[in-house]
Amino acid sequence: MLQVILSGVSQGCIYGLVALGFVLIYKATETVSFAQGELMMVGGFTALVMTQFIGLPFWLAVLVCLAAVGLVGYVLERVVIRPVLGQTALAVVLLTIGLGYVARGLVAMLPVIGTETHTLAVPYAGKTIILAGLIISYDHLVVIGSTLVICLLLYLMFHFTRVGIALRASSQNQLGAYYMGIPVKRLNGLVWSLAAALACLAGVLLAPITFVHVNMGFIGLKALPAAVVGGFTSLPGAILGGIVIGVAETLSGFYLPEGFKEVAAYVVMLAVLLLFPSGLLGERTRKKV
Amino acid sequence: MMKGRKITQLCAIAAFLVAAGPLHAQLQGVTDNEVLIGSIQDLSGPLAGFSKMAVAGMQMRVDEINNAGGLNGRRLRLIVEDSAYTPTRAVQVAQKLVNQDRVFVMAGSIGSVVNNAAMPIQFEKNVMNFAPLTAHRDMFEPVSKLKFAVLDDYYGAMKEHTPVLYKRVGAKRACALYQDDEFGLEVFRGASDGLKTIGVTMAETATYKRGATEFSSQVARLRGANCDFVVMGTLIRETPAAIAEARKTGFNPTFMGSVGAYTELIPMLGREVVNGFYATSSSLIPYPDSPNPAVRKWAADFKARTNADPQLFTLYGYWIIDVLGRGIEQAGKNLTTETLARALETMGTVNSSLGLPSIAFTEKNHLGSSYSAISQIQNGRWVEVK
Repeated sequence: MLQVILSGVSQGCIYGLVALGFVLIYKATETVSFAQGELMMVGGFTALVMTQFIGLPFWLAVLVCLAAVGLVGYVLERVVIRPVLGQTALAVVLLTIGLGYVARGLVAMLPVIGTETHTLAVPYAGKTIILAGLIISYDHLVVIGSTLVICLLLYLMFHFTRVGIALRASSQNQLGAYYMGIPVKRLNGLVWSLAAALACLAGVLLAPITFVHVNMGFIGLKALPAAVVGGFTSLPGAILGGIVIGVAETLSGFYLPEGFKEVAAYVVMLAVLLLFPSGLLGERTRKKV
Repeated sequence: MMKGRKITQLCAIAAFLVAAGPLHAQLQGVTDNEVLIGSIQDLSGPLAGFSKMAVAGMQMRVDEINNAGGLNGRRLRLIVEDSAYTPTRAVQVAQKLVNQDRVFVMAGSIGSVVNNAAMPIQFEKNVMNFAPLTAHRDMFEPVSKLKFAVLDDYYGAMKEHTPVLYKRVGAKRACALYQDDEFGLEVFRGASDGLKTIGVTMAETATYKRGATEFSSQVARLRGANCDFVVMGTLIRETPAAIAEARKTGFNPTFMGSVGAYTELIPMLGREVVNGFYATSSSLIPYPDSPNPAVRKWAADFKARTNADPQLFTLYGYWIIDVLGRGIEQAGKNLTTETLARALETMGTVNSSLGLPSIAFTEKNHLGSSYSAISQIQNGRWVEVK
């Protein structure tokens, strides 16, 4: 049972990382970006190309990958999203879904590697340690550890750096922040590149479990319930939501009859929404007229 | 005035449709100099690894036949469409191939679920489904002039070999992990019926949806049931993913898959983790360093064409067009679905020098070969175990 929960927590951390991206973008620009899953896939492929074809050592490849996909996120925001800001939310959502299609199509067009499934060579593949009678695989440890580190770094950034505080101000009230001299448009670009880098990390962490292939981004769809469960306006909520969904999935796969595993994420989302309409850690805002 | 114009337009359209009607009853895809062959492959989904190779193999044989002058003066033209291994896309591309491209025959389409979705559309227009890349019984049963298959079926192969392997490895408890669709069910049914013949019932089963990538809870269930023999109704990605998950949690039963998991892609993806995996097999993998000189030459020819080593599915694709070609040639100048079916049934045994089983169709039997064996991955290579 503990084994199952551990798998669930690890899978949930991956959902949580993607959900973090959702929430970051939503907080800053009030748009939902459905391209997060595909950015995860692009991250996986970039890491594959770096390690397999360019031959970089793994850790360097991951850093290059984060920077590269972060840049892709920034460019996407600047070129595709910024001109559309101010249109209806639906228009932007559809645009991001379209970006996802384009990303899948482009990656599938890559000669030789695009349509194949690949193994990403990670230095911790297959290793396990035995702790308190449980066999814990390094994959799980690395995922959970990375998520904790990321959470810590983000917390430090948001509370102790100027950029972080500016981001928080901008996400609360864009107009007010603009009046204070905060470069809101540039910050939006930064938010997108941060979210893209998070998706890339999620992709690299997911690759040992699901392999790298053009459809691996579909798991990003499960990150949406994770973000909703945590409260779409809360960063720690995104991670918590991810873990809740991940554990619910693996527990239902283990104990409940066939088929429940696939719907568990959505059932939990519905249940949480019924009980906590703004998610577990979301803000409850009211307008005073 | 406008009304008169409109009525004339409607009459013209109606007349056209009436004239076009009889075309539907005619033979399609065959002209004096060309035969159109359609194929529904998975170019972007979970089986893309298989399809890429199969198409390359099919095209290689098509080019060879055309370079030698074609069959009875007709060249072959292969049209491939992508189903992404989903039934909805399969229906769409089947419509396109059968009704727009108007192919004569469908060959080598991949996926039980894809073929089952496409066959009604094909059969409506008398388009034969020849040698699909799936070993489901629906591909040749019930016997019909429109269904021919060459791969020994999942059900039959698993029923024959599962009890044999179970006894050979001295297993005590059997379980199954299988894809929740026609393919997985056939593998599961065959294995469990086979085990019943030696008095063994499955202790635990777990399923996954086509395309799933995460198996921790399924593996945990099977481990919890203390199985030491797991039947796998899985394909390319799921096999190494599930076995890796099991090894990670210290669960090391004997894993046995069907011919759907008999592919070089699995040791390529799974590396050391999949060593020891068994599967039923219908032919030998055409490794470029094969002891069979004909295979070595064929592999070298393929490499010269495409700059890549061939795989098992390349060989399947090549073989499918080869057998179809013999049937088309035998049918003669008057090529129709009926004459092709007759030719296939009466042309006798087709032997292969490339390690493939011999094929023989008869009026009552449209499954060309019932040969299957057990193979195992040893040090990254498939070896047939006697």
